[in-house]
Amino acid sequence: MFASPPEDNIDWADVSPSGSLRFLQRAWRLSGDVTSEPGVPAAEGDLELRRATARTLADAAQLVESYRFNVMVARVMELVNATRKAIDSGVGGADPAVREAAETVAILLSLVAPYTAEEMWERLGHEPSVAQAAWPEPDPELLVVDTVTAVVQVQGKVRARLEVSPDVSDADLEAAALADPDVVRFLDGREVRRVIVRAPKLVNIVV
Amino acid sequence: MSEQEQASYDVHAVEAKWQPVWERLDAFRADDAAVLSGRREKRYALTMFPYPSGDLHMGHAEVLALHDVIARYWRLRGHEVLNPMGWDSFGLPAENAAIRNDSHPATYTYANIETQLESMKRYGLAFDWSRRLHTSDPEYYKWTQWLFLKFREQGLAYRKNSPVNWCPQDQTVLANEQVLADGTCERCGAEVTKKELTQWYFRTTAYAQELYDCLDQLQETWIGKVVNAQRNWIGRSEGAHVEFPVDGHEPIRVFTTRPDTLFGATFMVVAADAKLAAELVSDEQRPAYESYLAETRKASDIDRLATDRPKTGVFLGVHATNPVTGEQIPVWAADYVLADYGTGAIMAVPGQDQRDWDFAKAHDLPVVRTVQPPADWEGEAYVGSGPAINSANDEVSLDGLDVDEAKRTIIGWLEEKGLGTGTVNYRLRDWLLSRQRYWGAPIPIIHCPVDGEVPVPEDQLPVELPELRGSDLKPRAPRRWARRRSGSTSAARPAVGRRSATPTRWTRSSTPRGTSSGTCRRRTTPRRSTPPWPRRGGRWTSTSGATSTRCCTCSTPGSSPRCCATWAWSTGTSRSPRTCPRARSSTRAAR
Repeated sequence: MFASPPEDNIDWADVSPSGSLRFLQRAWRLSGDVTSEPGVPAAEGDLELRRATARTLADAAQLVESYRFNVMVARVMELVNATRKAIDSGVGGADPAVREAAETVAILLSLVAPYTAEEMWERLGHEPSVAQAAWPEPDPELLVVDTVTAVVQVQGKVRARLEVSPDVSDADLEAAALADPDVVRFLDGREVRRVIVRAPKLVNIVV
Repeated sequence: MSEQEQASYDVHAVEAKWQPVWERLDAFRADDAAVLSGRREKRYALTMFPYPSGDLHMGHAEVLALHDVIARYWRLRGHEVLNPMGWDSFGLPAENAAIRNDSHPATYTYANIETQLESMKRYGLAFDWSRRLHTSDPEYYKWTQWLFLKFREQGLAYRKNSPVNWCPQDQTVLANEQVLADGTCERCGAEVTKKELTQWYFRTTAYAQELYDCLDQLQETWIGKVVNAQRNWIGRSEGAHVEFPVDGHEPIRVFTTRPDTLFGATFMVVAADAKLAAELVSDEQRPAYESYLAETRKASDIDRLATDRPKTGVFLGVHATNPVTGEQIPVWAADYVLADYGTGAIMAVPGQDQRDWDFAKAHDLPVVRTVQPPADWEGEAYVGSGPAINSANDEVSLDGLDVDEAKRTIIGWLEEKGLGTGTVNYRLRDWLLSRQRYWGAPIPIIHCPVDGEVPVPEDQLPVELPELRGSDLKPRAPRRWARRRSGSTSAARPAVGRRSATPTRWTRSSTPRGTSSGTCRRRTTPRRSTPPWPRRGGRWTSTSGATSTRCCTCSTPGSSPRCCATWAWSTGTSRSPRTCPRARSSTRAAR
């Protein structure tokens, strides 16, 4: 699971159990460092960590459904690292976002390491079992983690820059470009003949 | 690094702690009511059932862990996940162990199952243990037998006489894959021979095209090499059946994927062990043929198909007419053609087939090229594409046509002349399911001397195995089982002949367990502890309702007379053995 994609052959001599164990211990320690109570409203927590948690959850669902379990594990490792950083040198163990992240780690780990996950879940103040927990639905707004700058050209000249989500669809980006006040001004009522969209970076309007 | 960062936990203690918690919570049971009421969506997660030949190994652990991720994921997503586990628990290893240890195969089987169960629980797998099954339980193989009868009703299970790999040591049929490259049995090392046996088959070939087409649906989601292996296994090829007239004999019918090369067919090869070869051989050549046949029977199919094998053979002393050239071409017997593939005979085109080329060179037979090789071609047989050459008679010419066009043209001409037909052939063969030993699901067919094959009525399933152990199971004890039948207690049991056919474990591997687990009585039955083997009159028998029919299932392939036609049934109170009324007289005669 940790070693490679399921379809690959594995030479077990190359797989280090101690590496996996170290990771599991590291994940488990998070549960001891959470100082908030169960049920604390996560919305009041640190935004950066909340985004990392939401992104991990969304990605993990996709990765499991496409059988890319090793990548899923790698994403959980990243979340463990981010949470550790938040506890040690960031917002600290009392922040509700830290609890949310640690609970998410426990739930995700229950797919691959049920014993560690149960221990974490219990230390986080929950009744057993994590196997009966619900998969948390990430807040869609938290999934818009970054924006990128899309350049809008009219007749080959840059007329506007838009801050958009990296996941923006072609249609949404085109609509946003055509609605931009600067673009409207440069179009000056002329008929748009063609719009070339390369989301999320470029919109080229031909009149 | 914080203080906490140093902390750790005791892995073994944690394992011991959680297993009882999961059991107490019944955490992985799929709730039928939640699904039936529409409250929760359902999912079915099914992984391979292990064969209980010892404890689990790393390969099991890997596969089970991967499966567990999926099952747990859907459970967290709010679905009721039907995630059963079972054991593919019939098979020869248990029988051999029983002979070694002078015990019952069930002892070995069910002890290993318990060992594997403990391992699975230690792995923390999310199986619904209320839906556990073993294919060797009568409650389960009742459904194996029921499915068999349904298949037979549809003509999808049938018996035929066919040469099979036979291990004289294990006294059993082997799949091609169980014969090693040196022609020995993978289990015991004995030299494998060929034997003509009447055996049960599943008609998998009826689904060859459907299976082939359905692989398209897996193209996106499955690993490419697996899908391709499946395609090659089915081995679809388009071609033609062509008839080569023989004086004083039926025409020899061959299948060829390259009817365009018919003008280059300079000799024919019949599988040495095909009936056809024995029919065709001339009196002068018969002694030579028969000594060659004896050699052939020792070789495995896999060996025989190896391209680097020396091309041996013997001339049968007869000629056939090439239908397009009108020439008389010699007919040979050889081992590189298999008796049960296609028609057991081929037209040999040495110009376009390397094995035919090797054979022609070894036996000084003529070669005619019918596809133009490239200018710089220095090889032997040319299997590539190119324009046809040397391919014309008075009525039809293929010269200059490419391979596909030449195929279409010659098939049209053959069909018009009534000399052949265009057709599709598959490498896939019907699935041999009989195994000539004890520890398998008895085939629920009575071999009645009067009525022939009589299916056991469905309401009298399962046909249970007789109780045999230790040396009773030894190969080369041909009459022992038949003797058991005459005992007062065993008379009511299936009088399974020494060579009665029980399916190989592949049969159960391909049984849709979902169906069976859904009706398995096990759920309402507390798990037994020890001994795990369903004792007669114990809890197991009582869960299977009234004791069912015991029938003769002996098929005694290759021997006659049929060893018995006794069948008996229980009326609930009495269990007196009965004899099939219509067969009574002949049964007595047989004794």
